[in-house]
Amino acid sequence: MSSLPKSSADPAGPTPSASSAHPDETYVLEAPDGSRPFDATALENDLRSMWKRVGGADSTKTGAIYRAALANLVVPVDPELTAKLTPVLVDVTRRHPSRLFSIESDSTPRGAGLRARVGALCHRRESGGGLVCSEQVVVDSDAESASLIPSAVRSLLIGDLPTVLLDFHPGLDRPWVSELMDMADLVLEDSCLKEPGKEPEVWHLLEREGSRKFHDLAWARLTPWRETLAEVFDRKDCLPALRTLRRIEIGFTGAADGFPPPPVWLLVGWLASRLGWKPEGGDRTGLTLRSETGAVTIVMRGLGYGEGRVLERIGLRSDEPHPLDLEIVHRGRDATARVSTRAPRASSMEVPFGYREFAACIVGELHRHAANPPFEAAARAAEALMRCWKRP
Amino acid sequence: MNARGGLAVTPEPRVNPLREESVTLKAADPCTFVVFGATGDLTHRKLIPALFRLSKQKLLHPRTAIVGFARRELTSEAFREDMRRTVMGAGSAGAAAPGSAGAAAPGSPGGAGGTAAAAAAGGTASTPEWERFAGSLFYHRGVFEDHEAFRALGRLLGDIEEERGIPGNRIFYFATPPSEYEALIRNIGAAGLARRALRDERTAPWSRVIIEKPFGHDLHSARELNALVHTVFAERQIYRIDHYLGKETVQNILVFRLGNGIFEPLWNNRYVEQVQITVAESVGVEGRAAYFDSAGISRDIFQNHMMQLLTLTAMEPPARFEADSVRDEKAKVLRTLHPMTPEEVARETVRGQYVAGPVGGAPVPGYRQEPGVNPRSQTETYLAARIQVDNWRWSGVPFFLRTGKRLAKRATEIAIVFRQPPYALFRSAGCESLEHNILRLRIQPDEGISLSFGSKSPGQSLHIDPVQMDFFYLTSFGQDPPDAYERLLLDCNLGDSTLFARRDEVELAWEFVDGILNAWRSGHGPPLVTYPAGTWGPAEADELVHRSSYHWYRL
Repeated sequence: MSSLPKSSADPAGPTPSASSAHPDETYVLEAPDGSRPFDATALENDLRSMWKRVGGADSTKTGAIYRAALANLVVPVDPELTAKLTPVLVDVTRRHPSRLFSIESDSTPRGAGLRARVGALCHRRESGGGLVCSEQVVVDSDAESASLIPSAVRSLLIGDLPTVLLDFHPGLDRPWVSELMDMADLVLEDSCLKEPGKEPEVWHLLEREGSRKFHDLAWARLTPWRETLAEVFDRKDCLPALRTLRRIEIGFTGAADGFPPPPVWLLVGWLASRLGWKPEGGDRTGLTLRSETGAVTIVMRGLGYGEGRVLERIGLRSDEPHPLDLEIVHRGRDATARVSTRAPRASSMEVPFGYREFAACIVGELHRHAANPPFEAAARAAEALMRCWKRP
Repeated sequence: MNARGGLAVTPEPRVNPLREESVTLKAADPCTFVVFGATGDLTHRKLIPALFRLSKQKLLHPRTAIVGFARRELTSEAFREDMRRTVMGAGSAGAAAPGSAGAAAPGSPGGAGGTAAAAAAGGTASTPEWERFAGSLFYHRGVFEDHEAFRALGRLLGDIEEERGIPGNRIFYFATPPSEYEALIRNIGAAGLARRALRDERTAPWSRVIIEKPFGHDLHSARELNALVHTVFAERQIYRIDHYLGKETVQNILVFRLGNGIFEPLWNNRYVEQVQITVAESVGVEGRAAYFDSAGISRDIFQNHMMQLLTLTAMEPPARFEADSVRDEKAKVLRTLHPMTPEEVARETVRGQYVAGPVGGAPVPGYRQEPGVNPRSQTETYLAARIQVDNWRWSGVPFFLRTGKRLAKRATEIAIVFRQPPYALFRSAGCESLEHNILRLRIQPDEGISLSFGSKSPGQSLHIDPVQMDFFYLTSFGQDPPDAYERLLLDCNLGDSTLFARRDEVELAWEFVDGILNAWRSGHGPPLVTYPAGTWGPAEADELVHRSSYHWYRL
């Protein structure tokens, strides 16, 4: 993300006004001096002078302006993803005010070195009466200066706040990304951004960092599915069927022969780890696992429509003596999922589905500070299962 | 598989292995909220905005229904429109009526012409969200004393539940004056609208009742009301609401004390010298004159909000963070309150009534000149008391409580005043006395916590000045705490009664407050003194703390 959203920038006098509002009531303040060769002291001065100017502005137009920070959010962004991720980051700062470091390497011409500029993303309080602002530091570098990025970030971190690396950069092996990872208290990765089949690279970080520090947003996306499945088996008449499950069908959007996305692998890994299933093998149609009562077939396939490889359907079938034939379908951003049961008795109902926007998933992870053994076990199992599967 | 190839004979699972620790957010059950007093102020200002916001956040089950019940002749359509105008901030009969304390005024901060109710509902009610919510609103006209109206309500609920697939779960909300409670309970029982709690609520439809404070007007009436409610509902179905407990800042008292290693060791008479709890309102009776003149501030605020703040401040750590463990400890604090003799009531309490004066730069009438107030009223609008918590932790530490209407500003705060260092190390440098360290828990407004401590002022000489470490919810979390009613309504749906008062808590609080009220009534109490509106209360309240060589801390 090499640039701040521009639509409301007012470099001449960073005074948000009603007319400069985005539809979502987001405002941008920019320090007057703009981009400069990286100099931590000068950038801190830019921030100070920006706030001084804001403080002297006519607050009758905006209400009070609050500068807030709960964390240092360090975000290396792949240039190709900038447009997609900018609104997400804006929303993250609305939900979790932070000093945001947007970092793009290889984004300036050779010889430009390391450059930075500062500003703030401000959001109208829901209850009205003022703006809450997150400071933003935008760092750009040429290829040669990328190694300087960690030291630059380090010099501008707010000392007594946690540092969160929100890594949207595909190059995990880059030394400067690794260095940022070492510096961070919390690392948020997204295995969905990896090339199909390369997801385990992300999960391997669990071994190194542990699940207290390392989170995968693909796991966060899976949460409402896990909640819904858990709800199904809270029912006393369904619970025994967990032991005799024989077939799991998982459908995701996209091509029928598409590679299953990480949430699908993690879902299967989660079921296997929770229910004690062991991988036996796989072929073009799916995987075979062994439960304490028999074989379990897992079928994962694209539904042949839509984009984005999004988990949309789970079908479960269980044998006698606890027959169960059940399907959960959730589409898009719906607030509910449909749970249809053919056995043990026919029924169909809409149930609440905790779908969260991407920014909400991110912020949810920022609030989780404990180790996550179910995720660790699911990721280990998912990787083992991925090795068994033969791509159609 | 076993050796013979058949199904392995292993015990059937009793626990759901898919229920792991990371999946903790319990989903709301589909249910019907039945709001008695649906055209009243509370419904307009708090309940519907809170339910709408919960709906917007998808925290309510999508099949939830809300049935308003009131005397006024309205159709469901008209009721929806009235509620829409309330939530949209355009005002309505109910919303525009002067409310009770904290009532929202049009043009509240933001300047968009919305009401606080609209703001609390998350800004303006955008059409698709409102339309979805409005589809769940229904209205039933009835008089609370009319048995037939309740039987008809039962038929309506049955129809709605069948149509929307609600398995019979019901929450009855008494948003009415307390005088209506008896008729409501009797008629709910007689019409069979509520199901008695079963041991396992997960397998059967549940019924719950939310009852607004004041719960009784003295110990005797509270016991009578409890007995009456228990004829229809079991204790675990009863949710006595004190909205203070739904405030994030009040819930944070326990988190702050018990979730941090550094504060609880200091939270006792060895380190704490005194505690001051203030619930100050700048508004007057605001259209509630009839109720307030019979209740006074002692019943309106002291017996409930202040006792809750006191118990959360003084309680021992509970064994678990669950409803009964927390409420057990709160009840223990109430049991250890030193019951005041009439002489102590005369000495340790102050009751006041405001007279005309300027509040916030505008003149306001005295209490007896307020519309609807008896011109010779002896009702107190201010109460201060010095309270002793007789247990090992707090022995010798005075708790000063004060609450009043038409005070200088609206502020609720708990101030923990720590003892000074045992030795004045800096006396030789001219620093004779040091300020106390004060921990302030700001409940509202400017929600947050501050700690004052002494620091050397920059310069060649040694001067020690008090400075502050401040935490503001807004600047730390970027948002104001959510409305208390949202949390409490959702908790009731989820069956979590931690933030609701239990029978023994209510009765114990009344037992203590009755001691004060009885002494006042018998003529042994302090005289009713006056204070000008817009001040911090009568001079006698200052004298109350001065006698212990303290002063009220400025808010």
